[in-house]
Amino acid sequence: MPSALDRLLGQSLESMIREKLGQKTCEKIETRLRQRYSMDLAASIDDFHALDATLREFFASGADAIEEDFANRLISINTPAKGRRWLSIANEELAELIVATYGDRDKRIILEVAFNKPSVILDILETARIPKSSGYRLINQLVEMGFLTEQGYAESSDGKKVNKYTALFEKVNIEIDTNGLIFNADTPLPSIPTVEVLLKENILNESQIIRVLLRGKKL
Amino acid sequence: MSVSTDENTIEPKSRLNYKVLFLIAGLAVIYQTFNYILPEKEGELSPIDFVVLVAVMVCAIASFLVSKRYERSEVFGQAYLALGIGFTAYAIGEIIWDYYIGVLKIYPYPSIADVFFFTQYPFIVFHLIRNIKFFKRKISTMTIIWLAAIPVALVLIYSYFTFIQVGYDLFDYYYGVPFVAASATTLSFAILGMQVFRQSLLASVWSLLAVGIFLNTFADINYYHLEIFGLYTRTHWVNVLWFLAPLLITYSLYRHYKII
Repeated sequence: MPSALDRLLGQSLESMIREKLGQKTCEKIETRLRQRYSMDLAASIDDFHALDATLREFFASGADAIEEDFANRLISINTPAKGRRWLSIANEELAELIVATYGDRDKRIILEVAFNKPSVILDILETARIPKSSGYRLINQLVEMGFLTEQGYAESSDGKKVNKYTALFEKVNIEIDTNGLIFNADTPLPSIPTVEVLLKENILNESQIIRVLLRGKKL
Repeated sequence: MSVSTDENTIEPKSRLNYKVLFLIAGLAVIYQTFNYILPEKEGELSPIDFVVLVAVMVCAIASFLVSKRYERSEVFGQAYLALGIGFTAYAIGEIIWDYYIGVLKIYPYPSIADVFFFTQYPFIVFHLIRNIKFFKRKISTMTIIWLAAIPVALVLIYSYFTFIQVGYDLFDYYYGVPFVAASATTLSFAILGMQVFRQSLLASVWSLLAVGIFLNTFADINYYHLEIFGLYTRTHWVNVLWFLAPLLITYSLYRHYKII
């Protein structure tokens, strides 16, 4: 099961890999992934060590440069002398996804409630005052996209273990520079938002993708 | 899902087919045999004159095909397009050379054909650098030193073997220096490429490419040295190297196409 951060990063990573290596090379890599690990490219992103091993088989030490490039295009970690490290989102697709998610009122409330107090779905929805019918759908979406992650269990009235959820990000900084508007045939196009996120403690270490891509760098 | 490797899985085919290598060697022997047999007449072209041109054109077409295959890839598309342009320039140089000899009845050295012969080098170097930079970000100082040392050493060897003999033409010597340096630079980067890709599936591809470029460089240096003394003839063995080099590079392109 990939970590929440891996699910979030993985959404942009697949298109990035296809763009960088080209469709034909990706097909060859996928064939090899199926032979050795019985998985396709999308699945190998969830199990990033398999993709890493396959890239190394194809490109040997050249895989380091490819992965470094993926990392640079995806994120950068700001390491201040004091205080916590912020993650800058370099990938436009991912930045837009974060902006869209935090721009949605209900989703933002769910994420804030879950961050302040990791809870089971029902409690999150009650605190957030969101109807169950639409709330379950929103929470499932947030889990699938990697904005919510499991953290511990609670016991239900019939003694079953139920997952508690918390938000991945403690803080999100979104900066939209209106001076950066691009005009195309007199139609303004939105500028690319600058997104920085402060991750909940230990989230970074749970990510296989981050560990592989930032190999050799202290997390 | 955990990573599990199956020992019985098939390794992707990265090895060279020795039958193809023997075929290329056989073609080279046949080429040079005919090169010796067919008489060289001043101001006349023989069919053998077009064989190198055909080999170079095949290599250019193969480069464009590979480039087309990877056109959406950030690295391979542009890199192989550059290689194709380089070999196209080489082929145009060959056509002009043959036109000078067959139609104008003028020995084409120096001539406008040299502009096209020279044009191949920056494109080949671009092809090599584009591949290398994509797969190796940091080049050590030691590597930069030997990258520079190879062209310097080959220019020095070219100069040494010129000046130890009598009867050299100084204009031809200076004229040949940029060609020797540029050709030797392609060799430097081909060796670096071979190093970067060793142990990868592309090792055989880059070994073939490096051997092809080595033969081309060796032939080029010998040719420019021969021109200083007016000793170049169509039957000289440098021609078989010029015939072999694009064939080996074409085979490396085919292997690249097959592997990734």
